[in-house]
Amino acid sequence: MKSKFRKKNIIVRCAADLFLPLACTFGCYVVLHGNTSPGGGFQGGVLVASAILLVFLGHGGTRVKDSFSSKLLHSSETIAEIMYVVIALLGIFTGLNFCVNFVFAGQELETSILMNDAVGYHVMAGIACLLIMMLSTLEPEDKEQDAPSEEKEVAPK
Amino acid sequence: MNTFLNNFPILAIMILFVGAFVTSLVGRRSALARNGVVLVSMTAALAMMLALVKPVLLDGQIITYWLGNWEPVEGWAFGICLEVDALSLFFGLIVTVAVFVSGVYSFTYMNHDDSLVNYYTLFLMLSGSVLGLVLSGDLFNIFVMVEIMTFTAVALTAFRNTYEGALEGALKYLVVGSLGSTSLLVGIAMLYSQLHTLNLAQISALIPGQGANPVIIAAFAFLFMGFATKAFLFPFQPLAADAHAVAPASISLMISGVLTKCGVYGIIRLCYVLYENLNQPLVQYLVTGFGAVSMFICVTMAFNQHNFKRLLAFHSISQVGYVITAVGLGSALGVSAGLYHAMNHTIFKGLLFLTAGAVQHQTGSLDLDSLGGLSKRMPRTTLLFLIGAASISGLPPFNGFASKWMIYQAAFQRGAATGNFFFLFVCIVALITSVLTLASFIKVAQSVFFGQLPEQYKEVKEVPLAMRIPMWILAVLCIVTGLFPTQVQNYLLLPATSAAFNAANYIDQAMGLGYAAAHGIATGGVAGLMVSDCWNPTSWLMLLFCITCAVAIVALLASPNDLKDAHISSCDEQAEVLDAKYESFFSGEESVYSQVGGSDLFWGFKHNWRKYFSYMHDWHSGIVNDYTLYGVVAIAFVLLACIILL
Repeated sequence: MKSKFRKKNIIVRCAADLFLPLACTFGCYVVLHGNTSPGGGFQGGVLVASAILLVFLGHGGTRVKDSFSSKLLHSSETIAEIMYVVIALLGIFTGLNFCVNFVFAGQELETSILMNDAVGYHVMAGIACLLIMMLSTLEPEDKEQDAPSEEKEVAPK
Repeated sequence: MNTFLNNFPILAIMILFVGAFVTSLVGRRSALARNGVVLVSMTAALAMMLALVKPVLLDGQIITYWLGNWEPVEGWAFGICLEVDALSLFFGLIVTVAVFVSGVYSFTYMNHDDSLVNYYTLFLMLSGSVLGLVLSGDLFNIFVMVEIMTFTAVALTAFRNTYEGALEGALKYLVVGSLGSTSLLVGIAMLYSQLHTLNLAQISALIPGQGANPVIIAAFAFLFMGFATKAFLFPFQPLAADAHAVAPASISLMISGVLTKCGVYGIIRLCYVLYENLNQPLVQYLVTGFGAVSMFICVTMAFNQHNFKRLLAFHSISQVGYVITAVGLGSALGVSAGLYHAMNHTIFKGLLFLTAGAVQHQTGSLDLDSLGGLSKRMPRTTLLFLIGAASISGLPPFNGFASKWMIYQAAFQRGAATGNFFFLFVCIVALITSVLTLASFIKVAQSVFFGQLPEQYKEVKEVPLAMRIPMWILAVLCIVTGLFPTQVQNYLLLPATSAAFNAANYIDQAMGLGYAAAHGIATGGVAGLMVSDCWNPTSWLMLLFCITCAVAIVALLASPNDLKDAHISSCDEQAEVLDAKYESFFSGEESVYSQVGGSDLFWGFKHNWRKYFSYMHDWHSGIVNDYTLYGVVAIAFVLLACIILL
């Protein structure tokens, strides 16, 4: 009874697979258009990070652990932070002020588009890290039970 | 104007933050790379602050830096700005020196701990946020930096979470610290609703035009209490003790030497530049009163402590009380005395915390009752401790003497000039506090470094050189700033004091020349510091009165008969008093072996004050709800006082 209940419903699995690319694409869109439309780095980053939740819903905690490396995500987070500061600092080394718009000087575009991307990257990595951490504490004993039971159920099919 | 030097303030802040990020990136692979990154970013920040000394402190320039070149448009400052005047730079120097010393000390001190990457990341973020706070020219940025500062400090307090009470201390700090942050935020929101700007310079230009607007006055009360929380002034002192006792010594240095200074900086900036209201007697009473009360209560609390770092924590608040007292006097001498003591406090209290850390590192204990006789095993640390203790007690060749002397003089001068007995009383309290400080450090020296060496500490070794070097840096600073007070006054204090009194220049540099004059802010400034007129007979009379009062109070408190009676007759009562000292939130844990001579050196004094101490004992309940309640009551009190009387 219990093991049957554990098996992910096919509807949930299909829906997760369907929405996974959509969520990622939409998140990236919100990040990239953050400087001209509502949204921006924070919202877009969270949308992309929600991919982890979809994987968890559709395929369970072990798949999340297999598919994502929290170490890499953690490094990405710091890299994004450094990226942001470096973009801001570049203004100083071109002889202008901190945070100044130097790349697209005189155009409608602004440096903030680059900073927005850095923020999006940072939030994506940070929230993903947090989610993985939370999900791993959510079912600590499930890991041992879940993995074998799933194989048993899947094998006869 | 746009020389490269102008970028130094933002670069100094950013290099600390970048250092934090790079540390967390490379630190997991190699400890050497991690330490290298930390050292480079600390040194770079210190070097940049030192490079600003000449233009800002000596030539009197103000560096105004608009992020992204968003300069004010038609007299409205919308951009974020850094504004570095002599006052900011003075505190910036304190911060970077303390960060440097604390970081270098951590390399050896923290080598018993794991997950040091997190430690250094948080440490550098704390440093960067504090530097950002003192250099910022924007009220909301100050709030953001206060938040980063509080949360990193809370995390670092709980870093050694295996210690008993570490998480508890951090939780108290978090809850009551958030009360302070919220108070700041409410104050900022009120100001913004009335003035529609967040720029410090513009706010200070617009406030006088508001007259007796009650919202502006309420905002003053909230902002004052917000900064007072960050300085751990009177109703907030229990958290400082709980946090310090469990934090690593290098973080204790940061909390007492740097975080409390942010509160002091905030109060000076608020009262002198933003509101310019320290010429009003009520504000003087309020600020000086808070300072004097925390100064006295914390020194008496320190008397009872049986944990080395808890004791230092209470002394730390007591010394910050001195600073606030002097700042609240509203005279140029008072401000410069306060600044001098703020600087000295960072130096000598840092030194004392580092020696406490050295003792803890070598013996594993901070309990005054079980330690003893360490001067035989750790002679060099003992020497450093004695330098620090002499400085904090205000003994002549060291820096504490010079600044405390200035504070007495400032309080006395203020009292003599206005004929107000409140300031004379404050002067007496300051004198008594200094005596009590000396007494309590005799107790520490006796119970930790002298006396009998317990059996289990026979094999204790001297701390390594890498830990002694940072301590020696602070010890040398103690001696140098104490030996040359005139030079310190001319090169550091006078520029910073005149910056505090010259709000008009601060406004003009940010908003464009003539902006202050258009809003009716007169140019101020301090030409020179007047020390008391030696030959004024009334001054002498008042001095006589002061000393007589002080002697009388001390004599009344501890008359020999009482001592004898207490000693002979009331053994039961004495036992009761002795039991009270072992309450965990009051003083520390009970121990089996106790250096009675050392830890109870002043038991007679304590016995005579048993009613006061038992009251204070109930007051320090250790329950975070109580502490929050005290904070709320204090905020309500200040709010009512300001609205009714201002």
